[in-house]
Amino acid sequence: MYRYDEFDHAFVAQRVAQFQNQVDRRLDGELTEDEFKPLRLMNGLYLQLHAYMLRVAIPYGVLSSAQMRQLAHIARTYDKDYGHFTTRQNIQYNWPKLKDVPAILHDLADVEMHAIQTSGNCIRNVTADPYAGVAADEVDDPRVYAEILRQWSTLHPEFAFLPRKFKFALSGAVEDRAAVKLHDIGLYIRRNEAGEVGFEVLVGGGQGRTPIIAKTICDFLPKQHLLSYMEAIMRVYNEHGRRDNKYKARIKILLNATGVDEFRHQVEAQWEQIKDRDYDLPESEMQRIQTYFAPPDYDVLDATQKSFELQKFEDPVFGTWVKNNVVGHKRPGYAVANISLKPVGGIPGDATSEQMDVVADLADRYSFGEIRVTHRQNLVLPDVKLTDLFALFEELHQYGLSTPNHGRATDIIACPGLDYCSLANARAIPVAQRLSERLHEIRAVHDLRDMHLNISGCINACGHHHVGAIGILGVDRRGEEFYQITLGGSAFEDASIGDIIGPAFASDDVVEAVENIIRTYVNNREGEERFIDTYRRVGLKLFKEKLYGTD
Amino acid sequence: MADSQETYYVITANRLVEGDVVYMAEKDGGATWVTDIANADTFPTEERGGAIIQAEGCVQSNVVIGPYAVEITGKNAPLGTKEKIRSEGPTVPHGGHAMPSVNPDYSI
Repeated sequence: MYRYDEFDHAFVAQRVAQFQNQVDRRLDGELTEDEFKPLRLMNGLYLQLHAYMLRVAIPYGVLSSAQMRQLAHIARTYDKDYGHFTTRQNIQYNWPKLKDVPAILHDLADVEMHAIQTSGNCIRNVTADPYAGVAADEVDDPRVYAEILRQWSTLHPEFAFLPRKFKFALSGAVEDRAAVKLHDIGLYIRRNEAGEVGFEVLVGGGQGRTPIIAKTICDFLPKQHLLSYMEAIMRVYNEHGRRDNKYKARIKILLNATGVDEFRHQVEAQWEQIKDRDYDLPESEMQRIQTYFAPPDYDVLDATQKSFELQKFEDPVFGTWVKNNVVGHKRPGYAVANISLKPVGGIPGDATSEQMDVVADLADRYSFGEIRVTHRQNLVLPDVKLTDLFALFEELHQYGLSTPNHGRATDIIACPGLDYCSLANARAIPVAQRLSERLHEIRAVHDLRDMHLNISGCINACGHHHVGAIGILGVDRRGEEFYQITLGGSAFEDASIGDIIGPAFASDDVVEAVENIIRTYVNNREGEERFIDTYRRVGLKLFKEKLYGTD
Repeated sequence: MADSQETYYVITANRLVEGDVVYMAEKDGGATWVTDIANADTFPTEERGGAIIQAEGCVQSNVVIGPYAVEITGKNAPLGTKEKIRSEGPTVPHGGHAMPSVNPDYSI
């Protein structure tokens, strides 16, 4: 993985010292809250419903075991012994004290991490396919380009005060595991007919109160032009994006108002002025960054391992976990192991310090010391030998980390909701817990693949409800928590925004409503059809009739 | 037509240093801040503005941040789910030791 160079170290250390000084001046009263607030937000420190909240960036979701251990240490030392992994591959601490935050940032800097640009109208943490570099269906490794974008966008002086926040996502694989089409800029790595690597560039995707699927503005951008083209898009947005209304300030609104063709024309006019100049990285620098992501020292193994096959057969619980949570790897004899942070009745994305330490140790022993965080709030060990999976599973099992529900109905995305968030209108976590408990009881549900339930506590959609196969949005109805259900969303390569099925449900009725929807699906699916395919085939009407009756 | 029932408020904020949710109460003629809403002072509508001004003084002296008034009913129970959760803490387990660490039965 990428390692800081001297410049990175010096810059992050300087930022920590700067923030220490700012906190000291705030505590002394030299800075007022109005003066201090933008400074703390630039370091990822929010004030939430109960306390401060620190959001730490995990660049493109890649963590070393040492970093994971440090995240555990921070949770244990300065917080309440747990952390929350988010839908942007970040981690949030819910209870840090202001006086401790400089020390936390110092500890993060020790492991080459920080909280810079995790808030504010700037380019946020670049996210990517959690299986980057190991996916069997990969064209090229998105981590290399994500790292290039990270370096380019970190403290880019021109883009520190954009009209609104700005999110990038990349995927280098056939299957989109990074919700690329729901980002301000999404990049699919493609190969052209000549076999050269480049990008399909998508712009203007996003969720929130105006959910829109990104549109392709360039079918194939040769990779050497990545930065100049991104710079051109950002310049058009920075100049023309609305600043008079924050609800209309995202690039998706600009793109819609401008039209794709005119927007592309403006970007290309900008691009003409800067392409082939010093905005792009030379091949040598690209190769230098590539070396950080060189494959680990894999053993040469057979694709089939008898002992592993036998273990699956002898221990059906292990067999189920493998079937659901383990996916293919590009190297024979290796696998990608998904670690669910969705125990039945648990809190999506939460991990205790102990669990983080355990995952770090397991990564060291079984996965070349590397861990990934997914936008679906789970963890991944990317490089596990088939013959190590059973031992891995047994250890995960001891710490509540072996739930075999990857991509299943109980693998629910939920934002912190009204239990933590000052923006929320309704709770998301308790609904996720009740749904998870109820759906777990229905055994037939366990076998339904790609059954994505996403819950947000407000229209800002941190819980990705718009793109859930079943999406749930918490709303406030005269002081009561209600939940509006959408169907048919997808965050994948066939991305779509869910349709509102009808009037919202009271909190007590929402579990039954979801159960009803799943029953309609199961009764109408053809063969192994996924929910989204059944929905697209039979349409909203049938689900609506079954849910509300025909009257 | 006069209100038959008077509306009362408490003043809430967060402590600057720790971030804790606190409520204003009077002590020795000055403002102090308590974590339990039951111990908060209550203010009728006509005194709410004065109470906020007093709270703003505590912002100036770097004790709290972001003070605002919350309508209450009965025995200092805040109106609305949000303020109720804010006064009582998250409604779900929080803290490493509070979280269950068990694997459900997925056997077939």
